[in-house]
Amino acid sequence: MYRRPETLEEIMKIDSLKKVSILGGGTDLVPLIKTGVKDCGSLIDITHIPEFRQIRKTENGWFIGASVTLSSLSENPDIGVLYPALAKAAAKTASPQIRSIGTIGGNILQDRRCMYFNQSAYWRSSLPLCYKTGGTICHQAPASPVCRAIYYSDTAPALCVYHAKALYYKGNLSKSLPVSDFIRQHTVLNGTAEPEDILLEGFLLPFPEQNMKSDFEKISIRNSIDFPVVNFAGSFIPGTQKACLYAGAVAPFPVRLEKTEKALVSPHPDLNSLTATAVEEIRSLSLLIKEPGISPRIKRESFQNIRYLFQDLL
Amino acid sequence: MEYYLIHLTINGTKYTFSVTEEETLLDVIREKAGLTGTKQGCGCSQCGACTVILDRKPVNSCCILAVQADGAQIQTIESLASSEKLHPIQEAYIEAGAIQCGFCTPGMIMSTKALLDRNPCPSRPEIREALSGNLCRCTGYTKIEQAVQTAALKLKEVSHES
Amino acid sequence: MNLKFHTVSKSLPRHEAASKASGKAIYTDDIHLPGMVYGMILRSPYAHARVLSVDLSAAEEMEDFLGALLPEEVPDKFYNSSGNPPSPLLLKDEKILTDHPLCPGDRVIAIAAKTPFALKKAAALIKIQYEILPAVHTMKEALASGLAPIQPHLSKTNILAEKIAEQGDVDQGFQEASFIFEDDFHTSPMQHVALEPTSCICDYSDGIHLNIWSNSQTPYQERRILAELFSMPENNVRIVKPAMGGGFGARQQLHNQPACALLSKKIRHPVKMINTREEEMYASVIRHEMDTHLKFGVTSDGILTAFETDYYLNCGPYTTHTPTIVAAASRKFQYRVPNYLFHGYTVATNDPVAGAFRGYGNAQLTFGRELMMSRIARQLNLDPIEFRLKNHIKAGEKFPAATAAVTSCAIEKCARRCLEIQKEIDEREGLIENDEICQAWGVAFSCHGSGPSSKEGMSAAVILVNDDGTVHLMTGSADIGQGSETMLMQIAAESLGIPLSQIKISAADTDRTPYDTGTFGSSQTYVSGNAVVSACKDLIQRLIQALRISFEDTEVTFTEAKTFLIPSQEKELTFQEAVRHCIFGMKGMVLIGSASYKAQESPNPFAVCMVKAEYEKKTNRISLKHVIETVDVGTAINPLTVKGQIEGGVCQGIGYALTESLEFNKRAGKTNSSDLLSYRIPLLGDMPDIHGEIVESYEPTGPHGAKSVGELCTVPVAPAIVDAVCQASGKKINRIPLSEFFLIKPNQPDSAEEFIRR
Repeated sequence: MYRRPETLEEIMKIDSLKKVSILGGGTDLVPLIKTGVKDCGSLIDITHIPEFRQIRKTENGWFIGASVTLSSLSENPDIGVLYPALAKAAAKTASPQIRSIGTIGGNILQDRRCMYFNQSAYWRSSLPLCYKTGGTICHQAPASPVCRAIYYSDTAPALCVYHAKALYYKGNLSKSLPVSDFIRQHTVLNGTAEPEDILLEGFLLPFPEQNMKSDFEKISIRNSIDFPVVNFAGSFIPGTQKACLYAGAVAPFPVRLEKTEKALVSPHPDLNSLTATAVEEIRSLSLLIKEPGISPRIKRESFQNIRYLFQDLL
Repeated sequence: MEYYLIHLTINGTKYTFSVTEEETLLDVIREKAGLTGTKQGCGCSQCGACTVILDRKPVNSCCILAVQADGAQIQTIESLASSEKLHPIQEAYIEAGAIQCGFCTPGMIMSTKALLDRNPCPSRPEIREALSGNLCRCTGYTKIEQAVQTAALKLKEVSHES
Repeated sequence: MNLKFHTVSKSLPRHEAASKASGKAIYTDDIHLPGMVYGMILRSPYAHARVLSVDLSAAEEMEDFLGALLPEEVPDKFYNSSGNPPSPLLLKDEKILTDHPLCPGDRVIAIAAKTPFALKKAAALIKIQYEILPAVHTMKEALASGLAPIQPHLSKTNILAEKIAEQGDVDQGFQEASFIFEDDFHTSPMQHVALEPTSCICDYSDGIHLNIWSNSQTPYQERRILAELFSMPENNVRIVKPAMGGGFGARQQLHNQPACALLSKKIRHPVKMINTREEEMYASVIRHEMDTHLKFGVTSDGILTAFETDYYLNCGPYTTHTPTIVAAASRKFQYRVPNYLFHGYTVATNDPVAGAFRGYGNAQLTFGRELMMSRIARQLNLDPIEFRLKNHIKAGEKFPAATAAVTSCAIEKCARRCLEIQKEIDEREGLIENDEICQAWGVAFSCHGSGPSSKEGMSAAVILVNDDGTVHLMTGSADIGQGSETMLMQIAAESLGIPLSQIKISAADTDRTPYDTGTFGSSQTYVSGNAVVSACKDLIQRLIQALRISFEDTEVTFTEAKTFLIPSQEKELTFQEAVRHCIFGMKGMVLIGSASYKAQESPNPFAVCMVKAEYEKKTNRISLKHVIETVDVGTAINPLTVKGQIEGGVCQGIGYALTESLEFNKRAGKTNSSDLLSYRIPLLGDMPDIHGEIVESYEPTGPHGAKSVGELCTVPVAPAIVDAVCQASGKKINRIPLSEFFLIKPNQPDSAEEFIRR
């Protein structure tokens, strides 16, 4: 079933979000429906609710609605100036066609990916069900008690480094969480076959502090369509102790590089030693799995590319 | 199975279709509107052969549900040429030798149209970025890149004339 | 030699380009027949299994489900799906449907439903129970002794065929050598990824006439195989090739057609079957994985004394083309070597079925050979290009173990022109080497044939003349997107002395056009082109005859200027005037020219490829900056099309070298890459600058001096890339794709760079 509420009130009348699938642009969900991983079920299209489509300045910062498309986000002049890492991350996601319709909400709530999961029903039929499809095993790491699929969002690390808050509804209650916690909550649930029971309204990004530098780097094998091999986002206010660094596509959630942040705010950070610290830290935090077209060795080497982020930040 | 009535404007013509929630925009364009110029290459947003313009943006019609597109303005490859004359983008593709097997061509041309509608003088990186959601296995893209540049020049001439 | 052409050698747009640009071209999936329904194959998800039971009951409850065709309902005989003409090298080993699948994707049952959605639902409701059997996935495993053979009726081991090609005595050759170089190389399996999926519509609903619309490279061979399989006369089988979205060898064979045809017969509807992209990736056909050991003997001044290779191709469980591919590879050694030994093996495994792919065995063998040619030269302190030229075959000489001499060869021109372009690039951009970046060039040569190297190429053409002097050219040759129709029209226009606009072409419809071996082996220009030239000659002869009768003048001739000279009237007539004169009146006649052409040669085209690669030392990233490729294709009938072939061939070579590989998943026991996200083919935004050029050359046996281009241009790309990357990175790498060793970086051109440079 497909429904397209036009107002917030209408959507609030839907009694249990557990029984429905929230549809943003559908660029993540529709292929999963087509390959039989997800059921068409009951679809609620939230892209026509005006509040969810806005990018607006509020008292506490900038609000970006969950249904804002990645292309409008990347082209928004205010976002480009105030939150360049987010604009760049949106611009680097997938392909132009996908960005035209894919939303920021959908990008954050995307399914974690794994070469045993992102396959057709036919391909998967020769293997037992995995955690993500309702089974009791992770094919990537049979000894693992949980799903090890990786979270590949490009916009997630960028939202994290701006300390954005996710605004959402659970039941009829309006809630908010730091975006990193919100993503953790989503990605844990997403390692199971349990459906989401929340409705994401959007993100609130605090106003950038003066002199803040921020940037995003995506490393991918092709310049478009591909998910990242690894991505990095960073924010930094030179001369202060304020820095925030995240790496994505290396674990089931974006990882924060706290040690490297300390090195970055030290008096005279040097590009080579910063890079070495970051690589070491990402290696210790990463939970790599087998991915098509890239070996774990090359993937680990790819962490070196964080130097390009530091070049921009320093 | 539930059916939904949707309204689409395709190439300026208003249509009403009865669709199920499984049907994609591509299914409707090809099977219901009979506009077979738009092609299906992969069925999961990974090749761009099914690119159409939806409300001025290029999209992969294979992964948009028809119900999602209800109310939208769609342009397909069939909208470009008038009865007696090809569109300058089409002319540019033909002259540059940018068409081989032609299966990616409608999608490529629609991505080109979406680009040039928004950015009449794209730089080389902008062209490469805008067309990188479209796979071509025959041409090596060299002549496609040239065709986009030529098309931009042709369109400039047309707008000067008018 | 007549180098003053009026239509040939001109860059003309394709005759069908406007229809493709406007979305009007009709491809197989665009056809809708009355009563047509939708079909699909249910395939084995296991590499090796036996079907224990099939339960259709749940599907049969569906109103829109039309039925299934089971393995026991198809003829119990083996066939070979390859679209090659009959040959003892084509081993019969596959069945239309099987209850004993030998690879993932093997065809088990075929089903039909009224709509594509119902079809998908029915497929999900049908339960097939399998007994999983042990499978082998590497050639090493397959060759281990004591294993049950995969094709017991063909061989007691998993070596299904062997080919030896030799000349001289390699042992003696290695003794005469000052240096011996040897090494092992590996290339990975690759998929064609033609943008149009494998498609067919089969209408066998009356049980007598079988009509097929399909994207086929070899419709006449497919007609023969189907007629034989179904014990029916060929006149009752018609195969039509609509507009076609690429082939690259993948459609040089039958795919779903036999099952689709029998399903149509059973349910009495025309059935449309379009492969999903996933089926394309590993249940259609792939390029063979290869292992080879190469050994060169060289004198101290850089003369080859001996070459030896063991060459193993992984064919999957069915041989299809493999023995002919192995044989073709043995005929591509383009250097002078007195002692030569090629030992090729067709190895069966339970991997996806391998078949024809642009290069036909040549791409794999050339990979290691050309890398070694560069390395040998550098070790002997010789220039890699001069070393190759010194040893290269010249016109009049024979390839090792070949029977016929090379008829034309402009490899030196190719090399010199490549070096000029390289110099221009280096003068403009320099060659960077510092703490962070190292750039370097690599090089490779290649050759191919024009038509099958077995000289099996045969084609025919018919030219119907209309009463206004325009003509209708009919050929069996299948244009699969490469532009052969326009090229053949140019040859006809040139031969008849008429403008291109006065020619209409019909092609590749087995009921309406004459036999053609098929679109493979880069045959169209040379084999089909020669048939068109001969048919034009026949037509001119008939026209001369008609004019002689009409004017009662036995001296009528056809001149160099493409006119008919009638001495008695002191008149010269154009083709059009001559036709108009002959066609009506009391002595009027219907003018038809026709000819059959059987290849006597398969002349070698040649190419030189140079690549500039960049290595980022700190991040182990590589990117490609420039690819130069110069080709000797004889006369380029349509230079625009030839350049398009070069650029496309380069792009496929880039994918082959950098990223493309059908990776095997141990846990799943089958290949991973089931979509175009996992299997990465190059995008526009990844591409280096490609500089494709054609050097001047003339092939005396070719139509207006032409040779082939299609396969040639993709062959040298991978070794040239790997050579460049090895030079830049200082690493020695003997296998592709390079993504196993490096992080691949898309090429990013300078944004300030002027666009219109080419």
